[in-house]
Amino acid sequence: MAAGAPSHHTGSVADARSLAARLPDLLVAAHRVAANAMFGSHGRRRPGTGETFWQYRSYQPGEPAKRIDWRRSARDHHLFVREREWEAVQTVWLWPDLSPSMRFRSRLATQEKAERALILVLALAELLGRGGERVGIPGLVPARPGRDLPERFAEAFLRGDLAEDWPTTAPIKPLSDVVIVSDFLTDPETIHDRFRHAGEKTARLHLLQILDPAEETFPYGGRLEFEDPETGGTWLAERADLLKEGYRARLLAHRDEIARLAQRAGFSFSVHHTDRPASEGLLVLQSSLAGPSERRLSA
Amino acid sequence: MIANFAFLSPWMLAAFAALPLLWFILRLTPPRPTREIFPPTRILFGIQEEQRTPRRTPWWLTALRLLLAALVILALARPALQPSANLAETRQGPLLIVLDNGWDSAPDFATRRDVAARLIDEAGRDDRPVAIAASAGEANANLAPTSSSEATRRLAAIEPEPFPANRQALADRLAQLFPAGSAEVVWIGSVLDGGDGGSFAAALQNIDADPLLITAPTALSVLRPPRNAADRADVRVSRIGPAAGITLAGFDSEGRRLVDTQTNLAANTDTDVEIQLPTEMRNEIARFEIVGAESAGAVQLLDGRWRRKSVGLIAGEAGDAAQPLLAPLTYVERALSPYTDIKEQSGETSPQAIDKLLTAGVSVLVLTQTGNLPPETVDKLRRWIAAGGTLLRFASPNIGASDPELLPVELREGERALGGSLSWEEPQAIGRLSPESPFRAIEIPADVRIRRQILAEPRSLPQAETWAELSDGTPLITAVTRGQGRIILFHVTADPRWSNLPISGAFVDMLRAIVDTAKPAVRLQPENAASGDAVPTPARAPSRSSPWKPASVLDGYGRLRPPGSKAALVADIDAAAASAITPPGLYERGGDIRALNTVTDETDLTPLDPSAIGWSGRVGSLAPERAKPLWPWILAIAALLAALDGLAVLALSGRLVPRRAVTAGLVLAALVVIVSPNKVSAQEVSVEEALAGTLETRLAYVITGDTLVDETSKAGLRGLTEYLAGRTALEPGQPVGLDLANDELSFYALIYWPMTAGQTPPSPEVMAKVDAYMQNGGTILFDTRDAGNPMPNSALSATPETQALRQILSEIDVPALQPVPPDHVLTKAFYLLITFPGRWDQSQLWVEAIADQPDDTGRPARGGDGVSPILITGNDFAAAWAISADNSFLYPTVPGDQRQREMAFRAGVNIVMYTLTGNYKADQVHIPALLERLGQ
Repeated sequence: MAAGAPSHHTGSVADARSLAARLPDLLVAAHRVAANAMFGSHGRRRPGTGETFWQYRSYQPGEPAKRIDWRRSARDHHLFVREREWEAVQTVWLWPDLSPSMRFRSRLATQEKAERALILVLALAELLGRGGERVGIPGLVPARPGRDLPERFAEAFLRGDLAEDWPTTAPIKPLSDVVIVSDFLTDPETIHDRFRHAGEKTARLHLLQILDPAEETFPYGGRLEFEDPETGGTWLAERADLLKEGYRARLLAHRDEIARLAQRAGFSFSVHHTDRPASEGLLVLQSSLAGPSERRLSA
Repeated sequence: MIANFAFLSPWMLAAFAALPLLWFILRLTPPRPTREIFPPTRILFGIQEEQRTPRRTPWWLTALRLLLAALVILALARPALQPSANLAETRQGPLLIVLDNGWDSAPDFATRRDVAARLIDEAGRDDRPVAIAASAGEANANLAPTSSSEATRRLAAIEPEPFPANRQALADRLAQLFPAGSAEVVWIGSVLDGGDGGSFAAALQNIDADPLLITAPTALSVLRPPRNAADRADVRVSRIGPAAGITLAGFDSEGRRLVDTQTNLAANTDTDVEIQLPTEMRNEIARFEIVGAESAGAVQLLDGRWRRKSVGLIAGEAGDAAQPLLAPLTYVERALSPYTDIKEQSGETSPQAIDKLLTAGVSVLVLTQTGNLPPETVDKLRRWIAAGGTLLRFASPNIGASDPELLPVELREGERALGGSLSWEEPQAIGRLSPESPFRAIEIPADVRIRRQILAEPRSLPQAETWAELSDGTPLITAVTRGQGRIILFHVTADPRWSNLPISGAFVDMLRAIVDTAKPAVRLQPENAASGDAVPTPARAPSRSSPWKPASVLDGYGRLRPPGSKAALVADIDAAAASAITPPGLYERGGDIRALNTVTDETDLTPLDPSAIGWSGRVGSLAPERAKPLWPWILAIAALLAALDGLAVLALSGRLVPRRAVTAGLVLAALVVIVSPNKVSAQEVSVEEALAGTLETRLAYVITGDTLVDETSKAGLRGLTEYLAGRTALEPGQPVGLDLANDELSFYALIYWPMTAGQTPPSPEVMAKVDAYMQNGGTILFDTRDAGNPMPNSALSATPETQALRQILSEIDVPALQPVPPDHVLTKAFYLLITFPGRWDQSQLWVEAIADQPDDTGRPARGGDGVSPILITGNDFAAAWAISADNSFLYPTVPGDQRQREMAFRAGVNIVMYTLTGNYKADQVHIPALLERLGQ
């Protein structure tokens, strides 16, 4: 979602500053969340050039003899080859959406969506950095390994302007993972275009939709005027409680559409709510990053 | 009277024209919706368009707001219920308005005039002739009915007069002018009856069978003539009407306020206000006035008679202090001391004493046994007399040696003895008191007998005045005026050896008359400054027959004015009373000032009561019937509607949270309940309460507001009640808790008052009630209940309960206290006790201290007079006595000893017996002696 009216833009800068002021807290929260999850130099769950044992298989004629695991082969009459799991250092790009629409917190939630997105991204950065992955922020921090990634990211957030809800794809190399934490309230056409563009770069997208519980359940009633924080557009509801069903249906349809597009493009898509613990979102991201990719298998 | 409805600001009603516009605006402008930031707003776009109602205010909200606006406009127009307009009943024929304008009508005369003016206006509207008659007006005022404009002019000329209304004279004139049934009569009556109310009412009812009397509810405070006492002035104030507080002030002749005092007057009674003021200051006072009373009746003018004279007494050489009944001065002093300042110089020689007194300044100098005086003293005395001093001399055997300058008449040698053993003559009575003298008001005392007197040379008599003669014409009291002063000689001694005059009542009257007519204190100037005084300007002796001239007169409002043309010369000021020709004020004759006051001691202050004067007509009230404003109520309704509107807007915008609404409603309702007047009349004692309190003897305790303490008090008194019923002849009823502010205390002989920490002391009114209860024989048992606490011994660090007690006792009159002495009747009232333990046993019981009497030493018990109004302990009696419903004790005693519990009960029994029987047990010690005397 691009920033709308200028007034909202300045507002979002001010908001971003206040967000920056809270970064140390968010960093601590991220460390705490990350401490509960383990990420390692993780196996690819296929044989490869790793160090951990994966499987024994029968020796195929023509293979170099040094591959034979003699200790295993000595136990019976067959020759076995010891296969190790394929391990590789991955490049993961992280992108939290800090656009004005993310700067929303209802009474039902404890945090703004943007804060939650930052926590998730920082925590994920710590986990990945601990696992030796190359992690970066497109257009802001180049992808490199390290154990101080959250701090570097936090500094970058302090400096940079992340009002955009979609990362630039220029620095993204093919076959890298891109984690996007956003509310994905943009219209499906735009999202479709972006997916296609990402697909052309053969990036693997992991999408986490962050929603406020109020956005999910629509707990409003009475005469209300709703205002879009990005465009400033308003919608006057005479009886908001009557809108609930229609809104729910439309929100689900919107989400289904994105999920459908993501599935078609081979991306993972999941939903996280700000009234849930941040660790849930982290686990989702973690598993989707570690999970087998249809696309890679097919590739 | 029929009330009608009116608007005080009717032009505000024009704003109703704007209501349609308001309706239009309100209809078009719905309440502003709440704005809610909502990121997925774009998802909302385009859904459920058909559900959106037009952006209009609901009709009922518009109606509510229109009603609100209409009510506000209505309230701004200030509608009020007006009292009935017409006072006069019939609308034709002449209208006779009788307006009382005596001094008692002055405070609210403006209202009276307004009512009269309204009546005249009404008559003018009905085109009927009006006659207006003032009851204290001039005797020849025009009473004939005229046009209303002429009547208005006449009304404007009527002022309240400083003297009482002469209704009788007016009734006579009215009877001539108005035959029966010729006019409608409205009498605007004053506050007082004045003695002629009944006959006047009858006269008015002759003219009109159904007249209207408009009476005044106004109260009146009236000053009676003040009295001088030795160290204060007593000013009597009569109050007619409800109780009120007034400020009484004394002014000097220049109008400066010298003293003021505030006092509260009880309803319909006389109150003596004591004004403490030194004599010198008191003598300066020329006028007492009730500040702001605006009536001639609230002013007392004072003249020279009022000033407290100082009288110097000179004993002379023969003063004999050892036998006072034989000292002549004793009788003079006794006669004068209630009214005057006696200045006595004793222990010195006469000349020295005279010097001192003259220099200090006295009004009257009394010489009793003085004969010759040194020439310089004689000279001083002469100068002093010329300057205004009054020398009062009494005969004595040595008076013949006196300087003739200091005697009014020449004296013959020797004295005349009447009724002695060598005399044929009987003792003489007083034959005549000169009407020209100050003694004219004194009755000739029939029982006075003169046995011996000195005689005047007949040739010197014409130069002097003879104030009193014996029945054979011999002068008894002679006087002469010298300069400003005078010399008075009693031809008898001031002791009863020569006559019984000094021990008769007439003697007091005579001396008082002399002192009253004396000039205020004259101070002899020192020699060097007194050269002019040595030869005083011969003052023209005022002729006795010249009249008193009004110097300044009071108007009806009690202000001093120059006399008007109506004020006439007064021949006899003492016989004069305030009236139209002798208006009250200051009268002057030859430099002598006399005050004539509106109100004297004899003035009848009976209020005008329609039923007492036989009034058969209608009765109205002067109090203007206030327009009863309706607009506050309308505003209140509008405010209610505004609150409803707010609720409606909240409900419409979906922000009305039911739980909060209920809370807010409860708070609002509570506020209304708190604000609504909830007056409980405090002093009303219901019959049931009185019967419950008096039919049985009941123990009582003070409800402190601390639930635990109150429960303990109740349980404790219940325990003591059962113990009393079991052990003694007394069977009290159930104990009762008292709310000091609202309950009558006088039904209970003993009230138990436990102290609690942090107790706020009752209000001063309540403490006054408690004080009255204690003064009138009630006993309060204060219990600080803190003997078990670590007791700080220092007086500065008392326990909170003790501090509470001190705070309470600081507001009441507490007698001197002492711990119960071993021989106090409290230790013997029922049981023989040494200590008075309660739950604790550390504290002593304090009672009113009994003065040690020498003859009490042998008695085993002392009670003092009556019962101690106060008992103080810290032993927590109630906790020791407290029993539960199943008769088990509620609190352990400390130290835990069953005997202590028993002793606590016995202490309670003794206290109850003591309060009920007083010092009866102390008197019983006489029984053996009585039995012995009976010969048993």
